[in-house]
Amino acid sequence: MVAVARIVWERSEGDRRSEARMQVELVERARSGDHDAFAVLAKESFGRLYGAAKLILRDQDRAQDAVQEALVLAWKHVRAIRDPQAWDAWLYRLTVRACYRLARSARRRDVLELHVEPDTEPTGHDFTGLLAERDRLGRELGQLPVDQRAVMVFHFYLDLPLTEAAAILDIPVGTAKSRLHRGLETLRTAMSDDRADAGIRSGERSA
Amino acid sequence: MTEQQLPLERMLAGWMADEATGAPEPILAEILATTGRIRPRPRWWALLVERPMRSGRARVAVGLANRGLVYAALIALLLAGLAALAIGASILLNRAGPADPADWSGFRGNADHVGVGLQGPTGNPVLAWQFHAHGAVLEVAIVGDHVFFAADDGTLSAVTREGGVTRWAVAVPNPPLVGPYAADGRLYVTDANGVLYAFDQADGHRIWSTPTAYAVPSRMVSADGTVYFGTSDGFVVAVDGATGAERWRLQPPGATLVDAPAFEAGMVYAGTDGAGYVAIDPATRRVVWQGDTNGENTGTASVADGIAYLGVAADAASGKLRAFDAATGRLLWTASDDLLQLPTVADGVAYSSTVAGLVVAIDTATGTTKWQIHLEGEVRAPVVASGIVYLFAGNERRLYAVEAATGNLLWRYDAPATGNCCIAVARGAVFVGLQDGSVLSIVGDHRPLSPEPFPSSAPSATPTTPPSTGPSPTPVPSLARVIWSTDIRRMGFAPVCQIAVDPTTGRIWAPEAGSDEIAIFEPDGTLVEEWGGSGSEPGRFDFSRGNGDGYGTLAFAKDGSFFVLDAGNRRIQHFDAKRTYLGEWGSFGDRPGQFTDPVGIAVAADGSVWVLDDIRSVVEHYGPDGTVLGTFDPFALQPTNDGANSLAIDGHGNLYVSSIAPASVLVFDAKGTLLRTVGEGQFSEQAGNMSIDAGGRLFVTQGPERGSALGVLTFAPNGSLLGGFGPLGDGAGQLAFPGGIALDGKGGIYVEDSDFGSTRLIRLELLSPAVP
Repeated sequence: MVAVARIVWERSEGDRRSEARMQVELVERARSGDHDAFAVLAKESFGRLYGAAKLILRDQDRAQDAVQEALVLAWKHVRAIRDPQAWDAWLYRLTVRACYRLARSARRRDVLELHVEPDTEPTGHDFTGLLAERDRLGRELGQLPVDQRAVMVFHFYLDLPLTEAAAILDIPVGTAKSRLHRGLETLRTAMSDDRADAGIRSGERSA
Repeated sequence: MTEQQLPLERMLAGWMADEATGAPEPILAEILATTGRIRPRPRWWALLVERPMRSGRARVAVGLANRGLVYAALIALLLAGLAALAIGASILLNRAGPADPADWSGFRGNADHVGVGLQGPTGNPVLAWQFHAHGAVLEVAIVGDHVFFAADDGTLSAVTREGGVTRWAVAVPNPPLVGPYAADGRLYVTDANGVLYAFDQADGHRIWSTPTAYAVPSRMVSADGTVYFGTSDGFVVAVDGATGAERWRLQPPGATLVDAPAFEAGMVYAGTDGAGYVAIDPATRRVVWQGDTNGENTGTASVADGIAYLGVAADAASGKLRAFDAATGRLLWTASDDLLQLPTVADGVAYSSTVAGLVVAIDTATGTTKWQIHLEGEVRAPVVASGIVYLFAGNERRLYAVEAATGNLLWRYDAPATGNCCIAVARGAVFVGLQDGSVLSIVGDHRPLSPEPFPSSAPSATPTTPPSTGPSPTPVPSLARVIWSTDIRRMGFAPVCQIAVDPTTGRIWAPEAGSDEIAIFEPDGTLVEEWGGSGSEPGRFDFSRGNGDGYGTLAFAKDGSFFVLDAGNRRIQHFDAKRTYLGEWGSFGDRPGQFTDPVGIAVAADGSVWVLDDIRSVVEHYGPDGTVLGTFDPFALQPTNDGANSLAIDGHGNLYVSSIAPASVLVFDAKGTLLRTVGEGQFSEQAGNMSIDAGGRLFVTQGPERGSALGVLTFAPNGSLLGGFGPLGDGAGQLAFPGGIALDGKGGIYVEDSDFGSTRLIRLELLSPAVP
């Protein structure tokens, strides 16, 4: 079992290196104006960027807008990249900037839509509580300030160390830590409160 | 261990991984199509504008490390360049250069009057912007990023080509003006007295005017640094473009009038009364040839591919379009149809029209007709770009795009008024000046077009129906027409919230959700300035709600002092008319004087202030210093409170609260007594922002979920529905998502309208019964 795991590890590391080399080559080609190379890079990144934007904005339509804005800007300014290995980080930065802009410019009507959550269907005795808890988690995450959501998404979804997340977000590491800490504390409190008064809030107005 | 007992972090990571799935592939295809159409910016530009990002060992991976230094160096270079420019200005002024083929110098394009643009709109027509001048606009010139035009009131204006935003405007004496014609950094116009002027394209300052008043000058052209025009006493005149000094004048033998000349390959061509069609060599100042026009009154000359054309004048009762050999003056052919005006010529085909609506395509080699179509009159000066002929049918108020090769219809676009002259096509847009003073910029949506045979026998026009009324399927009468529209997102704005009009200046104040600034516009849509910025100090704002979404607004008192609903800071800031900070009140909370989710503000005639707080579910009354005077719950009598959108006050001090569900407007007296409910069952979407006129008419926006209903509904003082305006869409007279709305007290109304592509600030003129 150990040997198999080691072989798998070695192969995947090799793949990663090869992918990294290929990405550097693609970025260099894109930088020289090769749109086909950019298309390959965009396809590779699209899912991750969309996922991050969706989690930050908590809205599919605006997430699409954010990714669109980020990738179009990436193509326009691709020649600003000096280190091709920074491609992913730069795309994350462009995406989160677009997310901030869209979040701030969103309409009141959107707010109301965002807060409307579908009723949780009871799907079985063992999973009802779990589903409800996950549902609440999503709702409470949506209540956090967008800058806290961004740090959490970078750390927990994109799996980036806080130092890297801070560099991409252009904030000090201490700020990233404190945003993460505050966000988690808020979620913890909200989740424990929700556990305490589950069922009471279901009839409350969402706005 | 069950998952409920997992640490929050692990649960969060798992939830995010599940939640983030499902990326929509069509969006990626759209992104790649978009990026495929554009090219990356040059490296120096990209490095400069992109914010620097550092990688692992603090190495700069994106952008420039010391952008500030580079900017400082650039500014220094710019200053040095300006100094050099100032030193060499006189030399530069006298140096004439050829027109950029992507530009449109004036009437019929460039000096040859061929009427061919390099690039028109691609795909279906989309209104980019609409500018309203104070008088009819006949023709426009496009140079680089600017559009120039003269209105009948004598105003010569420069607006941005992308957004239609005024860069400068100057008043020229003795209107109406002829022109402008753009060349060598200057704009040439003539006034009603026959004086020729040159203005600087950059800032509109007058460079010179001729000491001579010429006899009714024709339209002018400029070539090789010289301005050429004809006069009604039979002369061709050449004026130095740099100084305004007359270089020469020549009266062709027998000429009693000279019409607008063309310039091509070093020769001047002009139609005359009495001397036929003449070609003049400006170097020798002699007539090279005279073509016989059978004694007919002629129109503007044009020259293309070695053929000199002469059509009939717009006001002529008879006459033929003729083609002459440009070198010898030999008559090549005469068109079979009568009254054809000067043609636009592209790829061996001449496209001409008559004021009666006939449009023909003529083979320039033989003079035979390739195709023809009939419109409802007043078709003048067609233009061509990239295989498409653009025609404006004046009686129909309609712009047509016709496939040049076949005469098949590609699209049509309804304009808000008639136009009586000339359209321009340049840099991806068609520009149309109209009789009501509108200037339209129409771009394309880049979608494929399907040509269809032209319905030549029965044009589908409904000439008397203003397009702003639109084909609204609702039986609600349209109560407004567009005066001007400008795309403010093209100027860098994020969508704004509710807008307000300063009662002392008429200026429009629009909070910007993205920058926490307030943009201030002149009543004609010109941006004056942006004021404020992010922060919690006096004079700084946070136009966002608790979750980061944008919101904020303001309300004026009669004396021009105003109160800003600083939603994110949960406070009201009070300023006098000079924007001096007078004080503030509010903090987060649910007690009197505090705010949880303030969404609406209104100032009463006595200067007291009302604020609607959605979450607190109160309308609260304050003195100008923030003293709480009273509170009532607008939803006390409602079965539920599903939220409110905005607050307004009428001249009697009654309060209007727009309710989300049921969509309606609740009207209260100042004591909080419900007087009536307006619009229940008549809104198709939640009731949005409101504005009330002095007569008590109520204007309410509704959003894009309204379907076929109008974007603004208007109610009489008794609550009955009068009508509305703005069917769904982003064309002229249409509204996508009307947000801000404010009456100007002079029969007009401003609407801020957004969709995914643009944010427009629009001024509309209200029609009866929306006005007294």
